[in-house]
Amino acid sequence: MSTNTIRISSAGLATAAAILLTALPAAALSLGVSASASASSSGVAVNASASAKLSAVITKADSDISARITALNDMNSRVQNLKNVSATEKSSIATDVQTNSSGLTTLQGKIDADTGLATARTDAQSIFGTFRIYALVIPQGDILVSADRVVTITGLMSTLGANIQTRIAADQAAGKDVSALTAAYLDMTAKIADANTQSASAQTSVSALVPDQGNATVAASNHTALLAARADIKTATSDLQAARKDITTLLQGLKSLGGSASASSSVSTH
Amino acid sequence: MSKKWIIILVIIILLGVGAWWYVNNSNTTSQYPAAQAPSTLTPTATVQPAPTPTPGTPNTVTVPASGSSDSNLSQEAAEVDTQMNGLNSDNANTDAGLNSQ
Repeated sequence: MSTNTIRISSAGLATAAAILLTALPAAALSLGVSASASASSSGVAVNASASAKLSAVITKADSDISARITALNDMNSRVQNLKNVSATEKSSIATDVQTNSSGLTTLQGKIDADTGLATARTDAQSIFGTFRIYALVIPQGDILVSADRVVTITGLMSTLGANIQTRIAADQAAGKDVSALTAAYLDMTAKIADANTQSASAQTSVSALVPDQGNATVAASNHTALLAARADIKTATSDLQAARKDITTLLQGLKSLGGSASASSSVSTH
Repeated sequence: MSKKWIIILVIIILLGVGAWWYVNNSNTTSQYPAAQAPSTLTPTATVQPAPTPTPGTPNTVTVPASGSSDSNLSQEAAEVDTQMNGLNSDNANTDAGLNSQ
């Protein structure tokens, strides 16, 4: 190998090295900027996603809370219009509704002000875990409404029964066979009495229930009590249906025996 | 199926049953016979609550005849039927609430 060749090769290597030394930092710089830009863009995307999720959680929580407050107010209106529930019990329900509504409103304010997704989610969970509006308060009110209706019906049936008894007594005094009517009447009064018993039991079962505050044992016992009260109302409803059939039997029987009510201005019942 | 869809399904079923009930009852008025009794009522029939015996007084109460007339009994039975239908609605509300849990 000649000296010239060596010089040329050396010069070429030096040039190549110079080019590399010049180009590498630029490439490195370029790569660095690119990576940084990518990271920054990703960060913005993550932030936007978290913000959207937070907004969705807050919107959903607001909707859930509003629905519960509306349901509470509706239920309270129904309970306050009940005819047979005591003023004390109505007042207790009204207080419960007010307490729950206030608590939900306060919670709504907190959730609306939440800036962290995890905190908002935890707060939103307490709508279901702490307040138990649909799991306890509303069913409690529904059962009280049904129990009240049962008592209203038994009152009407008793009034009707007294008038039917008058007719039976008049027919009996007239020497007619009222044995079938008497049996139906006695069955009707027994069913009315049992319906009242079942209604009272249902009211007692649900009146003492309290929110479980996340306690699974209390939640289970509340649910059991609600189901038991519902079963009482079902039994009372069956009693009333049976009593209603007796009434049909009685009215038809009285008609077939011939009316006595229009025969005199008054009759006596014993 | 999510809880929300189950609730929506229950509401749709209830609406369907309610519509069916309404259409049926527009023809028959009520499932209870006495609720159809107004045609037998006399125009002057009035509802008079039967007197109830007061404790300590003799158990003999004079009852106005109109309180036990056929028309009055039918009218009182119709009122019972109205409340019975209301009870059915109340029970449906309760069931819907408990079943949605």
